[in-house]
Amino acid sequence: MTFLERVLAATSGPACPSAENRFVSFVDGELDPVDRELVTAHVAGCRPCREELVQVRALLAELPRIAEVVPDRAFVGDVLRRTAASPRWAETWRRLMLRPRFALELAYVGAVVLCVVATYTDFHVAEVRGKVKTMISELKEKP
Amino acid sequence: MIDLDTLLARCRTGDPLAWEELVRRFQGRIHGFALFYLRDREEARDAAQEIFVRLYKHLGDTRDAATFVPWLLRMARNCCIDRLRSLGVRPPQDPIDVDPPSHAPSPEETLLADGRRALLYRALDTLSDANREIVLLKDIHQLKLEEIGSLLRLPLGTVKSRSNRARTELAKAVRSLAGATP
Repeated sequence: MTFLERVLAATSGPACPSAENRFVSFVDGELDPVDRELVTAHVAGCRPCREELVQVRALLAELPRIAEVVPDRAFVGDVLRRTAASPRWAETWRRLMLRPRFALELAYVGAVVLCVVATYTDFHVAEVRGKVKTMISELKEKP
Repeated sequence: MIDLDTLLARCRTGDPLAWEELVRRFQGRIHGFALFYLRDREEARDAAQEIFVRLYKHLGDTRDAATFVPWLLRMARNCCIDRLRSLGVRPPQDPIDVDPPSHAPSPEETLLADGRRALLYRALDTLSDANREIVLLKDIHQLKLEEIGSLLRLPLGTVKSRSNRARTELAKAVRSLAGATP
């Protein structure tokens, strides 16, 4: 055991856990200059931490390379067959119909159409109401 | 290579060639992503197909290239979780079995790369589910911390600390497994 290790063992304990916690930030370049220097000094004298820092640094480059696992050659063809069988317009229409506001919008459009028809034709609500009343009374009179 | 914005715009107009190119471009990534969650080749292949079918149906929702990948991975994650729920099982704990990459430069390099890849997968298997998922999203698929926070509904600080812890744990596991390998 070196002098430094003996002192640390008798005081704060080994500094390795504290250094380990900063390795990722060290590799990502996010440490402030003081922390950077402290970590650098620690790993210079601590072989296990140096090896771990090497691994953390290696992972930074290696992990993105395992993102892709290319499937078999038939995969693209299978996807194209499946998407050809499910047209996009059907899904778009389905989602449009399922929207909660759809009923409200339909009622609004219906009201606008009625207004337009009433404005540009001889359609009068009062007349319609009268006709309906007449029809109902005629129906009631029939045996 | 056609830039992603142009490709997405073409896909939205219904160009089958553009769609084919989009599938080709992302097949490895989506298949790898699904394999990571499902741990079974056949299940992962089916899930990856399902993800592309969902993508096709929602092409109209795609925005710019910058937000496309996080959006696609969110959809892929939801699809994998749905599939796991429908299977009614947790993912098996067997190491992920992957073929060597098709673009390996030489047999020696392939052997080394495959060994290292297998070691990484074994080390990833030693992590908790939560830490493994963080590594998948942050370090493997390179999502930003904000995007991961939004995807997992976690505060930014939690994502950052968990990510640091996960990568440190992974490095320890790699060192330990590399030392144990004869």
